Amino acid sequence: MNELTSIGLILLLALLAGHLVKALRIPEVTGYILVGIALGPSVLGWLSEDNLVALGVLSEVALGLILFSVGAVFEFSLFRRIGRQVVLLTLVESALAATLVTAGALWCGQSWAISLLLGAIATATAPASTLMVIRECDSAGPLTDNLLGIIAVNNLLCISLFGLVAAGIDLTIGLEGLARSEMVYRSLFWFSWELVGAAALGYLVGLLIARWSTHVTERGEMLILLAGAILFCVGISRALNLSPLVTSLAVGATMVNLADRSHRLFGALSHTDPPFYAIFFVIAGAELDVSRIPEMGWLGVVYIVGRASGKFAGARLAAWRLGLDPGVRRFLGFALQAQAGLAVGLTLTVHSRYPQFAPVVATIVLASVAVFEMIGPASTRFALVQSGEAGIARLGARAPLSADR
Amino acid sequence: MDGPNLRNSRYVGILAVASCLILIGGWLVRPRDLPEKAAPTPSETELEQLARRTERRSLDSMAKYFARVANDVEPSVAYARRAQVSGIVWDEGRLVTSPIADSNAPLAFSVTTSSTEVDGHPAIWGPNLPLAAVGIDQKFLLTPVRRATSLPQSGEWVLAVWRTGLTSTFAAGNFRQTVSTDCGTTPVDEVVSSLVLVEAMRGGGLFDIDGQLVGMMLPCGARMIVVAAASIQRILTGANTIEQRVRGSYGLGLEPLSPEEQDYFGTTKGLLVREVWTGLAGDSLRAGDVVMAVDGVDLMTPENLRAMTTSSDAPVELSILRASKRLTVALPRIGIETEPRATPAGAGVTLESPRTEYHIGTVRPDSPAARAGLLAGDRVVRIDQAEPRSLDQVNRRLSDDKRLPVWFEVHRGGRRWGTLVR
Repeated sequence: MNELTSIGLILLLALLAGHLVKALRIPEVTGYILVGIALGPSVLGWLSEDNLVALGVLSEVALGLILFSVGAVFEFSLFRRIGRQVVLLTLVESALAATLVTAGALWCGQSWAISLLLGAIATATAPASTLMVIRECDSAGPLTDNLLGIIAVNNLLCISLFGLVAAGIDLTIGLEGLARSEMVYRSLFWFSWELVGAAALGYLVGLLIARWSTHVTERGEMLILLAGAILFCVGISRALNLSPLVTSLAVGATMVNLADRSHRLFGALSHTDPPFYAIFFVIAGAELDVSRIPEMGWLGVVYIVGRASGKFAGARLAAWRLGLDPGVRRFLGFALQAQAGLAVGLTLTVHSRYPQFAPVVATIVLASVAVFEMIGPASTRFALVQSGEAGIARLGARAPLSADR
Repeated sequence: MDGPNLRNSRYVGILAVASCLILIGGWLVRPRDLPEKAAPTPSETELEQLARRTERRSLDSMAKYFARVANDVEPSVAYARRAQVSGIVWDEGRLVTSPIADSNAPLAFSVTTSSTEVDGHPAIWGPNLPLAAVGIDQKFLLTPVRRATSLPQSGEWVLAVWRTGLTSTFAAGNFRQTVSTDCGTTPVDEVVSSLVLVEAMRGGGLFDIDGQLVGMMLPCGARMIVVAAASIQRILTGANTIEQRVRGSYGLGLEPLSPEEQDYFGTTKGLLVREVWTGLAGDSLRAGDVVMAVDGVDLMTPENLRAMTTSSDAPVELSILRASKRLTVALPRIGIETEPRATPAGAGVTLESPRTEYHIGTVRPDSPAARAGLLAGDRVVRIDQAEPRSLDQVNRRLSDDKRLPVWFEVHRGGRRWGTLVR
């Protein structure tokens, strides 16, 4: 199948599946992912590995757009209001998930290195599917605000934690032919470069757009500006070994604070990007290898249970300590279950940096991502609906990140 | 909503400059050799090990290739169990092997790895020949060897293949050259290679790496040499004596008549057809025919047979005496340089309807039959030129001493053979 046919097929089938699953009160995202699984190499094979590689560009653009939108949560006034609690919530839920997974992996007889890597990866919560469910539910309210904040901070935290664990492993197992000081420098450099460099690049690009956008009035031109900036940003990040995730986040954060009409910009985006997101999730689904789920064994079960319960209990504990609304307290844990791209990306990093740990880590993470990616969006939707925040934005209250103000 | 302090252009500018510095500085001080980490350069020893392993693998695959060639040529390499020599299936009706001491003894050959045994009888042999050719009944459909049309280049691989019983063995070596040498009175081309020739290889073949026969391991005087395939072909078509050539090409064994046979056949001239090999050009003659003249020239000595071995397209005309009648038989002429060929269908082939076969059960020692060379198991073809019609008739002829001498034509192995019982 050539690329245009597959893109067309992806969009049409995604729409169809979205309609079908809506009737079952399941988020559209899950429908897209299921379509992806069905079309992908592991089931029907209509989308070949070659197709997926070719469509990977679209996927990256979509992820850049998503993180850009998520970055809007760092709007100064909003973040000043909820920043402290968001950081605390994220720290507690991530720490608990990481601890439980690491302990469980050790209990299963895995080495320290593998257990810590799994623990670090377990902290990631998928920004894309979570944001999509929030949009789909038109939800607004304290749970939604906290959730948006958490998915932004969570990804930074996960990358940092993984960087620290990797630095620790480098120090312990060492690299052949390198002095210890050289090794420490190398580990710490790449760890901080990925984050600080990405933030710096994101700030510069965001500043550029913010200044330029004052001269742009038409919505079409604005879209060109945004799309160009984000593609440029993702491309430069790859070339400089920066985290495209953090860069996009930083562009969004800079934009929302510096541009005069930032919400017009974000609004313009949200009207245009759904096709990208549909493609993104279908590709994400196609890349899931559901046949690996049975391979994960007890360690996989421990990972899934540890991560799910850690996030759930951590969010609940922190929300209780902070004295947040009962809705947030009871349902935040449910909303944090999705896991996707970042976890897979970190697995690839493990593959290239520590090939000796890759078989175990890849099997567990890829299998559990398949599980979390299917139940996560439904779980998030459940949380938003049960807390009563779903549909609020449609009623005229402030819609998160999308509506003009 | 937007914090005014964030819009302060001084802060914005400072942050922008800081960001630029971070990016430029970070890129400058990044650990340089990191990209090479992914592809570590192999060390000297690793490279050498790699090269050695590659060479080792190509040696392995070479040995595998040799085994495959040996396996391919195996159906053309036979083994004579009793004589314990190998042989090469030269063409459909003939095996070539090393000289055989007892020319009259039947030889059982195993061909291919199956335990099927084929009876063969020496067709060409001689005191001065480095080889013997053995006639085989064509019904066994053996796989004739493919002969190389040209010699290998010096240094090319050659493969000696021979049998020990049912298992075939091979050894590889390098071809060097051919030299002319004499085996007894027979000049041959000797193939020189790096192979060490041992007794067990006797009768085996030397093949090039395409599985084509280059030569055969044969005894030459006291030593073993590889005789070039072309020399073997020359010996087969132009054996030492005229009789041998006629035997090799036509499958006819011709001998002068003994006085008793002269009495019996009523002629002093001509040569007696002693044996006829089935499937060769002389197949239409009978053991017991007396060849009186060749191409109209009376036969006085075997030397007169020379006309049969000259190269010409015209058929050779034999004037023969069969049961006191003069007949003329035309045979395709087979010259020295032409390959021996089987009788073409429709030319001189007698189709026989199936009938009862009479086999000699036992031969009493010291009886006239034993003295005449008849063996138990021989199939009686004719008695005094007449085919046996009933067991009674056969027994009557054999039990009556007064009716001797009797000419017996029997089938044994791949040939018909005649003898006078007196």
